[in-house]
Amino acid sequence: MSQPETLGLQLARRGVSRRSFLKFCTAMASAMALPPAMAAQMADALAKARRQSVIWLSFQECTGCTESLTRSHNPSLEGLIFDFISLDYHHTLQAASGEAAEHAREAAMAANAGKYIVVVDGSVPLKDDGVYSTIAGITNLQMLKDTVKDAAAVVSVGTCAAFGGIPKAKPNPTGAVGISEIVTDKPVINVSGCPPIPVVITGVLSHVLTFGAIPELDHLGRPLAFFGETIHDRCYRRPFYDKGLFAKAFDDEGARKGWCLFELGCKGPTTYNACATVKWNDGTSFPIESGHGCLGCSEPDFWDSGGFYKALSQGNWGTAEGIAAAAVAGAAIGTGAAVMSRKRQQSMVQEHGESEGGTLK
Amino acid sequence: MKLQDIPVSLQPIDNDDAQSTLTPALLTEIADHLEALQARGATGLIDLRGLPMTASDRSALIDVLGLGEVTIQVDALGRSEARETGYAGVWWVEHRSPDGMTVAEHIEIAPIPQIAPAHPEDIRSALTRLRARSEPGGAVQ
Repeated sequence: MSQPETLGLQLARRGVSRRSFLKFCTAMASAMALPPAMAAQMADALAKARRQSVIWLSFQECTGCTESLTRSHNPSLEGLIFDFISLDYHHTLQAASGEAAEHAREAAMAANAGKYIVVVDGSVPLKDDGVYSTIAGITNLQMLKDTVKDAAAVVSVGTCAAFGGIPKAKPNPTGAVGISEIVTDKPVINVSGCPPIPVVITGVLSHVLTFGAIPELDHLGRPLAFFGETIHDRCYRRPFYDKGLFAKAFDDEGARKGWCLFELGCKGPTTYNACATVKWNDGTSFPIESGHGCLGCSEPDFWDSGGFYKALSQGNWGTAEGIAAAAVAGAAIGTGAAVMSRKRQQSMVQEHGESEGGTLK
Repeated sequence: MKLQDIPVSLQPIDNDDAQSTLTPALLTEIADHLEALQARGATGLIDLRGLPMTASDRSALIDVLGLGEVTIQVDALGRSEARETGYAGVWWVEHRSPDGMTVAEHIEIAPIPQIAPAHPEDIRSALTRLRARSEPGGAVQ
């Protein structure tokens, strides 16, 4: 069987120039906090790559994760990812249903055995043999095991797939778990968030396509490029925190002046995600910019972590003295965050002879 | 109820409290890159969107760098613009999506920004198309 043609040739016929590849990769590198000089290498690699088969499984979820990706704010730029991948199965988006849809999944698995990527959104119920969520009469657990068997890697999209999310919230009536509790013999990349930021999904897939490898992950399996720093580290309200200027109520003077929302329950200091830099809704804002504290939705068990409006200091740091001490430490961290980010980029440039994450080959 | 009747209005956050020490640090970094460009021809890129930059920081940096002699506009998947700053070889490069959103913003230290030159593959393809048009029976004949 002849090799499918490269993405460069395929898209050149549609008038997509190499400058456009460079621009896409520049945007991705920026979003992934990769060394900006790497965009040119990524563009060349992407032009030489072939379309990646992707099978998307939706389990116990609300479809918010799919909405997040398909309504991403740069349809013409981020939407290019749909030219770079072959989305062979996605039961919410595909026209086929029932047995025809399942045949499409099985055909894609057979044709791309060992090479395809499985994207999962939603958790998997384990209680009572998984009967609480089925598709075409197949339990989520069985479908996951069957589909992942010959996959190259799994991307768990959203906090439900990554950590169990809301279905796992107490009392967890269905025995819901995240994907990495079931899939233990394949690389699993957790793209958490409720929903996850679309460019994070696009970024992970672009990384696999351009580097042929999974990105560097944190201890919870999340790509460090997006989850390497807390919301607090990158928050535009950080200077107020450093100066000890806090809103005490949602309608007080501090709130009107845009002061730090730490005392109103903001979970920014303990939440790793990229909302503060990537933002939402056409880059308009993110929750803190809209005047509400971060809920910590990209962290495990965020729903059961003690109340969205309870200050972290009440649970973790104890006293007013604790907050003051944290503010002093915070000033040092704030200055250090950009330096750390730059150091990571520099070490990637030095090390990136092969790749910075695990290889898929 | 009208929007203006809601008794909460955010004050602009652009005040002295929001200004960090980022601009002087960036100027040092830009100068280091420019020195490397002059000494070894090494180009440099600083990703502005990856920095915890307030609006005050941003306008301070724009003021300090100023505007130079050249502006390059590129139309590829949306508009990109590279403006030379008042310092030769230091460019402010902004990439926008087709709907006008900024998707990447860099300070680029180079004789010419990397988005500007034509890629060898595009040149090869252009030659093929041009030859096809100028050959007998081509569109030019």
